[in-house]
Amino acid sequence: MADITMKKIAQKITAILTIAGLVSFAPTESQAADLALEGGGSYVLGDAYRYYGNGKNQGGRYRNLGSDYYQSARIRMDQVTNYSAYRSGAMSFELWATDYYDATSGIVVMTTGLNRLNKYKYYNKVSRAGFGLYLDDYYYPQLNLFEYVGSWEWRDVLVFDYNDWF
Amino acid sequence: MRPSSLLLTALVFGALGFLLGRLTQTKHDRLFEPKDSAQGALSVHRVGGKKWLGPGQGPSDLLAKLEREANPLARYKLAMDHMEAWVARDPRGALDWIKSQQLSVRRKEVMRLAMAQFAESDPKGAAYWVMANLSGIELHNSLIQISGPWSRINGVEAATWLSGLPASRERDAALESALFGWGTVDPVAAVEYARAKVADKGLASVLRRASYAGWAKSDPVAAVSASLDSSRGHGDMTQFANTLANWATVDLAASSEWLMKNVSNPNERAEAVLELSTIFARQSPDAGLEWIGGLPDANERRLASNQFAVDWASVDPASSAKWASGQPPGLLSDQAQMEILQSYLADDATAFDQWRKSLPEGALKQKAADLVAPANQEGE
Repeated sequence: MADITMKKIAQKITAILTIAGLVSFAPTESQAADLALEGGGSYVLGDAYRYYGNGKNQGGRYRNLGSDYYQSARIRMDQVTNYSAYRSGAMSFELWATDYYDATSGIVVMTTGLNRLNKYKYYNKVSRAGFGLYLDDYYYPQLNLFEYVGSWEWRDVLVFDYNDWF
Repeated sequence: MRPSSLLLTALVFGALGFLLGRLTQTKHDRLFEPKDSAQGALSVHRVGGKKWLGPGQGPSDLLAKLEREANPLARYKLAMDHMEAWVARDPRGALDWIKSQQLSVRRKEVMRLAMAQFAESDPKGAAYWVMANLSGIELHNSLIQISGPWSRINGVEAATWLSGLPASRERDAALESALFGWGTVDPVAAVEYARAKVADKGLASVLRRASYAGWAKSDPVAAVSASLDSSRGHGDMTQFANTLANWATVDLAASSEWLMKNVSNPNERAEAVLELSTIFARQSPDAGLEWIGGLPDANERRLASNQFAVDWASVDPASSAKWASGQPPGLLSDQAQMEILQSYLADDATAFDQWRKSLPEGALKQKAADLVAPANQEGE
C-alpha cells in the first residue's frame, strides 16, 4: 500500500484563442479549459489481487481497462480548479504507472470521471475509489487530468518522485 | 551405500525438493502446474533443446488428444495441465486454441498468462499477436508492457518494429517505453536511434528524454553529462533537467552536488533547479532549505524558493506557510503565496484561521483574510 503526496508545478496548457473579429462568443465544449490539479494528491492501492475476466468498470476516459488482475485503488487530489471564464468539459482523473520520473506516457491503471466544472470554480478534496490494474512490478506513479473537448485532451499532471509496487 | 539407504536418501531429497518447489511457486506458476493425474506418467521429449512434458511427441499430439476429448470441462483441464509446455513450444498454436474456446472468464485469464509467457521468450511474436487481437486501451497497456523487456533484449528490433506501426498514441507510448528500456542497457545506441531514425521532432524529443532517463538508472553521472551536452545542442534544458531529476529521485545529495559543480551558468541550470526544488520539498525539506540557501545567485534562490515552498505546502502546508511568513518581501511571488495559503486552508481551516490572525499586518495577512471570504467551491 502506498499513500504519499506529491506535487509538481508545471505543464499547464494555455488555450490561445485567436478568433479574429470575434466580438462575443458563446463557450462550447470544444474550448479547452485551463484546468489544474492543485495541492497534494495521493493514491492507495489494495493488497489483494483478483482476476476479473470482464475487467472492472471505470469512469472517465475508459469504461473498462480489459480483463486482468485488479486491486482496489483510491486516488485523491486536494483541488481540481477551472481557471477559465467558461465551463469545462467532462474530466477524466487517472492513475498511471510510468517507466521513469515525469514520463510522457504510461500504463493507464485506473480512470474515473469528474463532472464539468463551472468557470472559476474548483472541486475540493476530490477522492475516488475503484479498481486499478495489478501490474506485478515497480513503476513511477502519476495522477493525470484529461478534459473532453470533442476528444480527450491532457490538462495537468502530478508526478510522484519514487517508484512503487503496482 | 546399501540400496535401502540410497532409496531413503532419494525419498528424503525428493520430498524436500517437492516442498521447496511448492513453496516457491508464484501465482502464475500455479496456474500452469503440470499435473500427473489420471493421464498416467508424463512422457518427456526434447526437440530443439526444449523439453516437452505433454502427451505424445509434441503439441500436435496434444491438440489431437484435445480434439478427441468430448467433455468440454475435461478438455480444458487437459489443456491447462500442459499449457506452460505448449506455450513454450508453440505459443501461437496455444493462443489460437485458447481463442477458439468459448468466451469465459477462465479463457481470458489463461489467454493473459499465456501471452505473458509468450512475451518473455518472443516479444516480437507477442507484439504481433496483441496488434492483431487487441485495441484501444488494452492495446496501449499491452504494448508498453511488452516493449520495455523487449528493448532490453534487442533494442534495435523493438524500436524498429514499433516505429513501423501507424502513427498513434499507442505507438508513441510503446516507443517511449522501449527507448527507456533500451537506454538502461545500451544508452548510446538508444540516443543515436532517437537522433537518426525519428523524423518527428516532438516524438524525437520524448524519446531522447526516455533514453537518457533509462541511462540515468544504470550510470547516472555519464547520463547527466551526455544529456547536458545534448540539451545544449538542442536548446532544450528541460531534457537535462529530467535526466538529473531521474537521478535525484534515487540520490538527491549526489545529483544536486553534481549540478552545482558542473553547470556554472544559473540560466542553464534553472530548469534543473526547479526539478530539484520539487524533489527536495518532497523528500527532505530541511536539506532543501539548506541547499537553496547555498545557491550563489539571488535570482536562482528566488526561483528555487518559490517552487520549493509551493511543493512543500502540498506535503506540509503549516510548515511551508510558517516559513513563508518569515521571508523578506519580494522573495515569494503573489501566486506562490496564494498557493501556499490555499493548501494550508484546505488542509486545516481551524489552524489556518488561528495562524492568519497571528500574522503581522501586511500583504500576506491580507491575502489570507481575502482567502476565507469568497466561496468558489463546487460540490463534489
